Amino acid sequence: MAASLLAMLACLSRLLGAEPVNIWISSQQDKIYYDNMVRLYQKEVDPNFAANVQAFGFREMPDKLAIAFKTQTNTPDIVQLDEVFFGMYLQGADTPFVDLTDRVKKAKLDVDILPQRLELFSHRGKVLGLPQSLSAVVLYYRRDLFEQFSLSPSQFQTWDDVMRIGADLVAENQSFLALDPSYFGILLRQRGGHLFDEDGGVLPDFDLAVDTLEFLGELAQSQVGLMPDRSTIFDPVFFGGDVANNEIMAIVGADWYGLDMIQQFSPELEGEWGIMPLPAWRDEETKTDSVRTSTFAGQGLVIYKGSEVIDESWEFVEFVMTNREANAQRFLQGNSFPAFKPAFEDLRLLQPQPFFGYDSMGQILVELAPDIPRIAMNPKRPMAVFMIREGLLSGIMYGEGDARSSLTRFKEQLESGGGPPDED
Amino acid sequence: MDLAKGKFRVSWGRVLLAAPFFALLVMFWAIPLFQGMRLSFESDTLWGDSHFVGFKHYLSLWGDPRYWRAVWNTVLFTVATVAFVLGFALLAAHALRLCWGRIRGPLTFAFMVPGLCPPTVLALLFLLVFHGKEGLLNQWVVQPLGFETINWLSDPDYILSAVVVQAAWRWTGFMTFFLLCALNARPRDVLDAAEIDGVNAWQRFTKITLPLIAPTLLFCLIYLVVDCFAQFAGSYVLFGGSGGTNDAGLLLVSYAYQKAFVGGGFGSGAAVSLSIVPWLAGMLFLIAFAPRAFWKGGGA
Repeated sequence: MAASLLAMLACLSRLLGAEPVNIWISSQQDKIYYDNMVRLYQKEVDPNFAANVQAFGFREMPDKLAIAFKTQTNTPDIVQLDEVFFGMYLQGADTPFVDLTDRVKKAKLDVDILPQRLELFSHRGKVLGLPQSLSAVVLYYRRDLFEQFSLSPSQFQTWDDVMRIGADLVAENQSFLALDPSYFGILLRQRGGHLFDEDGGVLPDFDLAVDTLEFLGELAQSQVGLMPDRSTIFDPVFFGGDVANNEIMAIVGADWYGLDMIQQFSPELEGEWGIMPLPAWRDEETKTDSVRTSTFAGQGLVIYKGSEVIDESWEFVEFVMTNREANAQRFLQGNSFPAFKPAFEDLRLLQPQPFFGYDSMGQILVELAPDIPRIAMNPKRPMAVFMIREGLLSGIMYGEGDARSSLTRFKEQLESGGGPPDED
Repeated sequence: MDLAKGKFRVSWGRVLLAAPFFALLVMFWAIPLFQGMRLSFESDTLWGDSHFVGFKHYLSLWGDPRYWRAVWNTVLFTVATVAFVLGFALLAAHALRLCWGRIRGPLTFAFMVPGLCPPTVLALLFLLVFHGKEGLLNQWVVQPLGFETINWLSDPDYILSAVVVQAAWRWTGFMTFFLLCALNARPRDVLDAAEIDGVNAWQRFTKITLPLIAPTLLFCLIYLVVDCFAQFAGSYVLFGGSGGTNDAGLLLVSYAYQKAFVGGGFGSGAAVSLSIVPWLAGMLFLIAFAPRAFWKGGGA
C-alpha cells in the first residue's frame, strides 16, 4: 500500500514536471551563468522547470563523470564538458550521449552554429553535443608595457616579427610571450596542421608539427617566450606571479580565456589589456600569410543517454543555445563568446570593453570566426592533449631530446596505447 | 569458541563486538579488492557492457615502457624517501633526547604536525615551496648556496626529488616520534653496563641501540614502504595526475589514474593498481627476510 502510494506520488511529481534536471558544470564561474539561465528559462518558457546545477572542478568533473557512467550511479542529465575531454567517451560502438542530430536540424542549429564548432562535438556523423563557445584564439597584450617599450600591435603581423622584436626586448630583460604547452596544438592548427586526421592518424603533418615545436623551443630558449613557473597559463598562480610582475607582455588565448581567466584573476589590470589577432605564419615561397586565429578547448553541452528527462533537457539546452539573451549574457557575464551565428549581430557583443582598453573583443572575434580551423575529434584526443601538456614542450626546454624525436615518441605512444584501447 | 576443550561454542558477545570491524573490512577492503580484480579482467568499455578479456591488461603492461618507468620511479622514490626519513628521524630522535625536558614535548609535537596534515593540503603548500624562482626552496636554500634556481616541478632531473622532499617532510616527524619512544624504551642498565665496560658511543649505537630499536625500525620501514607505493595525492596536486616532463615523476598509482581517468580504461587502470601488489610484496619480503635476528632485536 505504502509502496503504491509512493509510486503514484513519483508519477504525479513527474507529470507536474517537479523532477529536476541535473546539470553538471565544470566551474563555479559557469555555474553562476547556468543558475541565471535556469531562472531565465523559468521566466520565459516554463515556470515549472526545475534544475539542480552542480559545479565541479575542471579536471575533477570528467573523473566524476567517468565513474558515474561506469557505475551507472548518480548520473547527470546535462553535462557541460570541455572538448579536450569529450573524446574519452567516444570509445566503442556506442557513446553515453544522446544523438542530437535530428533535434539540431529541426532547430536549424546545423545552420546557425559555426560548422567548425558543431563538428567538434560530433562523431561518426552524429551530433552529440552543442558548443558553448567560439573558442577563437587571439593575442592578449599589455597596453601599458607596449607603451613603455614604444611598441604597437601593428608591428606584430607575423611570428617572425614576434621573434625579431622579442629578441630586442630580451636585450632589455623583458620577455614578450607567456608560453604554454597548449600552444603547440594552437599554432599547428593555425598553420593548417592537425593532431589527428579524419581517419584517426596521429600527426598527419609531421614535418609541420616538428617545425612548430622547434619554433616554440626557440621561443623558450631565446627567452622571447617565458614558461610560467608551474608551466601553465591556466593556473591562478600565473596571474599573481608572471603577470603581476610584468614578466610577460602577451598571452595567446581563446575568447573564454580573456573573458573568464584574465578578467577574474587580474582585475587590477583592467584597462591595461588589449586584444589583437594572432601573428600570422608567413610562407616565404608563396609570400602568403596563414589565418590569424586558431582554436583550443571550449565547453559544450551534452545530454546523457540514460537520462529520464531527455526532452526537458534538450529544450533547456536549445534555449541556452538559441535565446538572444542567453547568448548575450554568456559573453557579458564573462563566460565565453557564443558560437551561435545570429548572436554575432547583437550589438551588446560588439561593444568596446573597458577591461580590454575599449577594444571590441566581439568585433575581432566575429571577423576571425570564419577562419577558425577545424579539429578532427578523436577518442585519443584527451590523452594526446594530456601528453602534450605534461611533457612535450618542457621536454624540449630541458634537453630531453629534440623536437623530431620527442614527436616521434609522442606519436608512437599514442598509436600503441596512449589512448582508449581497441575494441575487442 | 572453546576449541581447546574440543567444544564449539560461539561467544555471541565477542562476535558482536568484532562484527563492526569485519563489516568495515568487508565493505572497504574485500569488496573493493574483488571488484577491482573483476574490473582488471574486463574490457575497458566506459559505457555499455564490458566483457571478459582474461589477462590481456596484465600482459600489455609487460611491453609497456611507461609502466616500467613507473615501476622504476616508484622503487627509486621509495628507497630515497625511506633512507632520508629514517636517517633524519634517527638523528632527530637522538637530538630530542638531548633537549631540555620542558621543550621536548612541544618540539616533538611540532615535528609531527606535517604528518597530521591531509596530503592534499601539504602538497598545495609545497606548490609555494617549489614555485619556480620565487619559491621558498629556491629563495632560502638554492640561491643562497650560490646555485641557479631550479624548476622543481618541470626539470626532469629534479621532479622525483621534489616528490621525495614532500614525502620526507610529511613523515620525518612521525618516524622521529616512534624512534624517540623506542630510544626511551632501551633498558638503562644495559647502556650503563656498556659504558662502564668502555664501549664507545659508536659501538653502543651499532651493537646495542640499533638491535634494541630494530622492531620499531622494522615497523617504520614497512609503514614508509607501503605509503610510498601508495603515493598519489601529493603527486596529483603537484603534477595534475601526470608524471611531469617525460614521466620523470610518474609513479605507479599516477599511472593507474592516467589509464583509468585520462585514457578511459578502467580495466587497464585496475590492472596497473593490482600489479603493485607483487612489487610491494617483493620489497616487503626483502625487508622482512633481512637478518631475522636483527629485526627481532636479538642482536644486542
